[in-house]
Amino acid sequence: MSAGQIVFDGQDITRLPERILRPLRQQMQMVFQDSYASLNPRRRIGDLLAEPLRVHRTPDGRKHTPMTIAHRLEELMELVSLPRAALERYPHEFSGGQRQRINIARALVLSPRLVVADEPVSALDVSVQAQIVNLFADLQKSLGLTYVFIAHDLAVVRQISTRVAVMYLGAIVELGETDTVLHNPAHPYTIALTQAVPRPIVGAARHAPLRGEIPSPVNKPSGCRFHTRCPAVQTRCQNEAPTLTQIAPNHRVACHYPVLK
Amino acid sequence: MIMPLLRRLGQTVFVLFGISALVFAVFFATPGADPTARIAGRNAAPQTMEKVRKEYGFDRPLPVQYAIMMKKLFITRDLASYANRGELVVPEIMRAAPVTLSLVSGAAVIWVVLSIGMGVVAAACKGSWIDRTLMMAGLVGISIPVFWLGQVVNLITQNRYHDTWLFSWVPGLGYVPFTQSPCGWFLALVIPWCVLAVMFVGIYSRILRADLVAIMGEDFIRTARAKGLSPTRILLRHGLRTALITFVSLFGMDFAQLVGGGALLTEVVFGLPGVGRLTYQALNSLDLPLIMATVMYSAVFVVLANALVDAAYLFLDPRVRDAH
Amino acid sequence: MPTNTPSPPLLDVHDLCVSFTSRGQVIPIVENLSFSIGEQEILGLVGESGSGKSVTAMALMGLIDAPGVHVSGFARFKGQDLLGLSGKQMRALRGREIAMIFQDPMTAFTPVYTIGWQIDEQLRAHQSLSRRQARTRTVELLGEMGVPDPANTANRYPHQLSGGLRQRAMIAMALSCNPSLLIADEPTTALDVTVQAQILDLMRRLRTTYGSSVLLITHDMGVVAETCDSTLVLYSGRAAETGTTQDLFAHPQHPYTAALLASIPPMNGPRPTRLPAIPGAPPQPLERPTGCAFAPRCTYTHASCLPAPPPRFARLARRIRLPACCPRKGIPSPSAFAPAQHLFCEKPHAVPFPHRAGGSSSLIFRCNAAFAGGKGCLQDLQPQTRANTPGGRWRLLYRYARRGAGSCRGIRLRQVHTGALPAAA
Ligand SMILES: Nc1ncnc2c1ncn2[C@@H]1O[C@H](COP(=O)(O)OP(=O)(O)OP(=O)(O)O)[C@@H](O)[C@H]1O
Ligand code: SF4
Ligand SMILES: [Mg+2]
Repeated sequence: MSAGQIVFDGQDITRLPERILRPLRQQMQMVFQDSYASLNPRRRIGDLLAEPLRVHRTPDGRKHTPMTIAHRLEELMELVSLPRAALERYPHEFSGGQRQRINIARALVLSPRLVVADEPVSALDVSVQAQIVNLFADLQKSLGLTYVFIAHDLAVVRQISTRVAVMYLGAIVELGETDTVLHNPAHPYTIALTQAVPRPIVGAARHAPLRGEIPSPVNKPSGCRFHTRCPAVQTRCQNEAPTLTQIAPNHRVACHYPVLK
Repeated sequence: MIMPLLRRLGQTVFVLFGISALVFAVFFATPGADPTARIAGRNAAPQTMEKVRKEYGFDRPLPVQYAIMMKKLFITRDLASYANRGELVVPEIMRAAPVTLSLVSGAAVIWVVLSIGMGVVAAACKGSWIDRTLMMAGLVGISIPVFWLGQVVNLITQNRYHDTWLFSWVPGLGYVPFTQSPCGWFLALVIPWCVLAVMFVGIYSRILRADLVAIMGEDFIRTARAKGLSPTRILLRHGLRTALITFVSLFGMDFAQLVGGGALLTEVVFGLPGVGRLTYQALNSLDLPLIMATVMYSAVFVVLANALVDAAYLFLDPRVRDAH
Repeated sequence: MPTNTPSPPLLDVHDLCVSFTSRGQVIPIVENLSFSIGEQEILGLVGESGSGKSVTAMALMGLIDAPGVHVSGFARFKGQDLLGLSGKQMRALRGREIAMIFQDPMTAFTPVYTIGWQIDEQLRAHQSLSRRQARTRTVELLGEMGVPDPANTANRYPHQLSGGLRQRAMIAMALSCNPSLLIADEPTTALDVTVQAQILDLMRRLRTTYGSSVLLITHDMGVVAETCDSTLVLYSGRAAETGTTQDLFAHPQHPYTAALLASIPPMNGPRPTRLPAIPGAPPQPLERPTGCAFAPRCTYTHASCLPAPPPRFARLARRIRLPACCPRKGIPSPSAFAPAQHLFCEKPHAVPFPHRAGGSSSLIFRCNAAFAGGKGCLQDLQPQTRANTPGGRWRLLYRYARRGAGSCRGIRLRQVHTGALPAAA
């Protein structure tokens, strides 16, 4: 069951009929965490990338010709810094980082405006992760993309995003500019989160970790969902669910007692 | 623990109802065929036809017919065979059931013990000649047809070598009730048991070995080894115990299917008056009430066994316990 | 050979090699790995996926039994060579003296038994305890690991617990027989960040409460920095660098370590527009270059990196960092090399390893005899030689002699005067 609205480009896409939705979908694409599972192992990279072009039409309603398709594929390979020869090869012949590049290329085939990336770098090695983060940043600049970048690594989030939404048990608890949220967090959960991230700095100040564990999503706590673990919990938190409220320009928090600096 | 069991029981009752209705529909509610004639048998006299029609209510609506049939099967138990001069069907099955049950239970003991032994040993010696020999033997067991094996064994033990010291103890074909002579019962059944078990030993040992080998690669086996446990303990307490979950579910189905009449060939070959042979005779003489009753009986068994397997699951696998 | 070790290390691994055979080909997975863990020390083993971290741990535990596997080297643990023990001797050690915890606590417990049953089992495998005594101890252990309501939790099945609780139970099980060494293979990778912090906190406390040494395997440099006393960086099955965590993070000596640290996005300070990423990907075991495994991705590569793996400056003394790398003279190394370089390292095959332990600074130079035709280049230095450098004044403390042959393997300098002196004469 789902409720609520998803507004894309001024239209609520949860209510649109399939016919209007389909062209809109071209403008939204996804990249997933598991770079291997999201590529059909029996098809060449070239085929995989060409498929959306064969199915969809150009913005002005014409079909893609083999010429334009080949051209587009080469362009894409260049965008994600893979050799052209990669088009002739199969997914298993690539390393994790290269496969993630291919996934990104596939997301970009139809020139979307929005790319939803679900943990795209968390399965990658540290030394390769930086390459992909850079690629995301470069593509954003050169193609003017908008990302919804889902990640659990705060350092990566800080590197790539303009604004951050912190979620806990299915609800946004804090939302704002990256630097504000990560350096002046107001929600106790965000604070705990920023403190819990292990930093590659020896002797960095350590904070007492958060107590307890994330409750199961099937029976969420009453009131504020974080109250079972919150170091600043008050009676009000147990009964009344806080709503996302503005505490500063461009900074919203769902907490009865936000930490204000 | 209690709730899932009760729920499972409710489901079983529902499934039984569905199956009985289906069986009834297949036999008596097929459009274009008059069930009266089929029950009364070929060339029955018009009076008989009339009697049958009255008795079974074939002139009344289908639900009533169904109710009468179920009453005759389960409550009054006076469903009678016309082909066989009024023999009551339900007691006939009740007489045959212990024979089948004796045959299948004995075979089951043999096949469970042997296949667990073979599967475990093969898995423990994975890749060695022992493993290959055992699995080859299993494959041979699977591919020997049971009726052929039965005939050959009969030929050897009853004819050819019956008078040698080796097989002189083998009694003639047929069944001896346990209540009459436990020893005779055992002697009469021991060869059928082995013959029936051969195929299942093959299947089960191979399945168990494959399962065990897969399980021995699991993370928790690595943990068990890191704990410093002995290989035997790891294989039996951690490996076999986990593999038993699949084993038991398969076993339940096969056992039920055999008790329900699936051991037909063995029964026929060894002249055991079990449910399978009864079905076989009923089919030969197109004895509709008897066929209907045996089918119902076997359906009941399969469904009950299914429920039992699920209950066993609840005990064996704590994950299933909580999933309900 | 002079060493400054107060007591012999608990585990001393020397030249560990592990290889698998696949389709008739020998695949070297771990090559010539040497390290040691002292009493109550936490050693971090870091490396990328496939670098052989788990294989190393499993080899030490004697848990690799794949067909065609070949393990060689020594691993001295309390006077015994782990790699030479019989299956039975190893079993007695496993779980009692050396325990292991695994990455995924969900699949690491047998699903059909309760947590308590499984901990009891380990206790009773190594100690003669009654069922009841074992359970009492189990409940006690679970309580010490911060499991709420331990008596009830012991009666629950693995799938009924959350990831964090399962990992706590796993640690309780590992510690049940008071092992001297705990090998933790990515114990927090499968956990949520906030829970990870709890578990790391617990691991740090173990050392004082249980007196266990820990070999902590991870791929997260942050975890290492927060938890480990010393660190071993593994790259493609070979040790790249080892040293105290503090030194290693402050002055990474191996280009790989340096690049790895640089490529982690910072949490503070200005955001770089691009991260200094390492190009390429780690080589597959079969495609490892003959020379330095990192050479294809290294910015400092030069001729001497390629023909053969860089010599390991093996075991001059404990706790000396051993970057397996031969940086090229003249090109700035990733971190500032010791200032004395100019004076003592005229020859391209003498490689400096600054080593500053405690207050007094000493410097070690490795003699890359492999590149000098087998002849040590620091041979001619006289004892007590002094040198002035921009970084201070140095005195030759001693020479490490190659066993057997009289040639020099390296030298150790002691700083006799700190501070910037006038430019070296
Ligand atoms: N039984 C085996 N047979 C052949 N190769 C193996 C075997 N076990 C591991 N390997 C290989 O050894 C290499 C190192 O594996 P290992 O599991 O030690 O990596 P790791 O450093 O622990 O990585 P990760 O961070 O992914 O856990 C891999 O390339 C792997 O393919
Ligand atoms: S040996 Fe050479 S290639 Fe390898 S890390 Fe050192 S400088 Fe780079
Ligand atoms: Mg591993």
